[in-house]
Amino acid sequence: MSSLIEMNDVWYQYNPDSPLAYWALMGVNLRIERGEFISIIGPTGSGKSTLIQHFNGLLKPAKGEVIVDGVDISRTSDLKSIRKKVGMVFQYPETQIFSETIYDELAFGLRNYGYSEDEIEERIESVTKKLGIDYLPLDKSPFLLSGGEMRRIAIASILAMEPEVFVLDEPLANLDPQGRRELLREIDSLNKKESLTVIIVSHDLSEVSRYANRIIVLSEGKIIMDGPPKEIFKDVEKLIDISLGVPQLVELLYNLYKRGADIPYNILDMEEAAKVIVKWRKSLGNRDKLRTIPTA
Amino acid sequence: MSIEVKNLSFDYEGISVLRDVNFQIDRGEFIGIAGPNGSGKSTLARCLNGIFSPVKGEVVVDGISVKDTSKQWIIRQTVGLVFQNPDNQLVASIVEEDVAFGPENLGIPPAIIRERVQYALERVGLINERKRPVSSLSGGQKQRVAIAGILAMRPEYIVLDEPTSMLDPVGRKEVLSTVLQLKEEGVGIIYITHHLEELVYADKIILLYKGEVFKEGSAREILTDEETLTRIGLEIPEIPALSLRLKGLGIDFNETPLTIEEMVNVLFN
Ligand SMILES: Nc1ncnc2c1ncn2[C@@H]1O[C@H](COP(=O)(O)OP(=O)(O)OP(=O)(O)O)[C@@H](O)[C@H]1O
Ligand SMILES: Nc1ncnc2c1ncn2[C@@H]1O[C@H](COP(=O)(O)OP(=O)(O)OP(=O)(O)O)[C@@H](O)[C@H]1O
Ligand SMILES: [Mg+2]
Ligand SMILES: [Mg+2]
Repeated sequence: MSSLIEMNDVWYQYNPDSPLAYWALMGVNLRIERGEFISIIGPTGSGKSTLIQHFNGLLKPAKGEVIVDGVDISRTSDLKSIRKKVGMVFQYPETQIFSETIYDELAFGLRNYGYSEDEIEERIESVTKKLGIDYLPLDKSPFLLSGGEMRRIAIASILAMEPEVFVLDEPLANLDPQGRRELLREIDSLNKKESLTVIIVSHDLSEVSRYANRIIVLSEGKIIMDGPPKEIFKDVEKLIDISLGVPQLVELLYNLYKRGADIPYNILDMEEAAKVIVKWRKSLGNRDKLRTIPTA
Repeated sequence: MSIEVKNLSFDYEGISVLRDVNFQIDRGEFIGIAGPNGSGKSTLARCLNGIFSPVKGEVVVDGISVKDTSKQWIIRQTVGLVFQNPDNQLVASIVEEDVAFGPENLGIPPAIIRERVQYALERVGLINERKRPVSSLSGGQKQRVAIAGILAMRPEYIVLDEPTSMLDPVGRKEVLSTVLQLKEEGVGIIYITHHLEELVYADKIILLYKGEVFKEGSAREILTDEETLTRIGLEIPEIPALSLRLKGLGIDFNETPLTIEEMVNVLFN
């Protein structure tokens, strides 16, 4: 079977043939398999939002090809069925919300694909519970919500469609800390139990790194790293070089390492980090175990 | 000189959103505000510069009540608000025009406006994008323009409502260091965030919960109080969380480290 999403030498340019022309993607090659949990990270303006909008044909490459479940998005006349498969939550939920009530907002996509009103009601009930927004009156205008509530509505409206691929652009922004964790857990369980393919763009490196099986790092329109979280965070200097940064735990451990502590620093789990530090401190009794401090 | 919030209550068409909120912020002070989604943070932010007028109680800015409609202009000039969503704030189509919009409205002479725009865009790292249309910017770039727009107004107090929600870790640090520099220059800072680790340098943290002040205290008090934070839907940040775990494993701290720097220093002692 072919990959779920395939990008072959994809280039994308905003405002071609104008003084504002800008190459946002330059020669991206990528394969995404069914059931993966991927996080896309990269500094501001590196092309993350541009990249993911190719996954459901919102943007089409200037050069190269994007194949989704066997269909070339530049050639197909049936983007509707691709968009049903690939659900996408935008970076700013306001750009996606337009209905007069929360209910209509959540029902919009489902109605569009011809679901019965009974089915729609059932799905709305279940999805609002899952995202902890069942306390909101469904007849309220979605524009009169707080930032975090609005983001949950945007996520819920796509989740209700039960897509095969769930693409989320900064879904954790504006969510409170427990909300971030609950959302990731919910998505993780859909990924594990229902083999939902998940692609999350996020600046919350610590949070997403705990769930993703693979991290893709973008910089200036190119993929510069692609691998499991532990591999990615081995190269701290590179992530700092592209002015992205690393998770707090990694930064702490790396600072200890640079001061001479003989410890691994690509650790994303709190318990593991605590154990590593305790073990190193115990070994400090014996000064010989101090690694020689690297010369800068 | 200070903003005094006295028994502030606010409701949206009869639905109560803030109840009896009290605090004060002086110029040169940095107050952090955290609370779960829907707890009333953005509503409070809008009360601080008079966009919303208290239903009960008072907000007094350098001696002027925000209820005094004849003084609204001065209040907006004194208290700058960076909105949670930049799209609610960005008005002009070109980056530098947008940043100039605020000072222009204040009637500042063009030569000074040019200086301020330059200063603000440099501070947020967007000087090379000054001629670009706002609509062509990425999410994080827009958020930086919104911050620049308020910097250019040079207010005495700045209220930032989740100013780093769309920024990468390095961008977050940059905003935070700008904020700390402004504080040094005597600007009062009210900083709303869901990333509690950004509040380690705050003089005081106020926790909002269901429209009320649930608890307030120093950064160290609040950020190490796992029980309180968890109870209201927040979480203790990673470094203090790790500190508590290390304590449990037998590493003793006099004071629970809050920052990476503190932790490194303590562990190398
Ligand atoms: N409509 C547009 N016209 C011109 N340039 C654009 C347009 N949209 C985006 N760009 C530029 O393309 C680059 C990539 O933008 P993109 O939105 O993909 O970045 P991003 O990685 O999602 O950033 P962020 O983390 O800030 O959301 C940026 O430099 C941006 O300024
Ligand atoms: N214009 C409005 N009309 C009616 N209700 C509103 C309006 N704006 C906000 N609310 C409600 O008031 C409550 C507080 O909203 P507010 O935006 O102040 O919360 P917040 O603490 O900023 O939340 P978040 O962390 O999600 O941004 C929420 O329950 C919200 O639904
Ligand atoms: Mg983006
Ligand atoms: Mg808010």
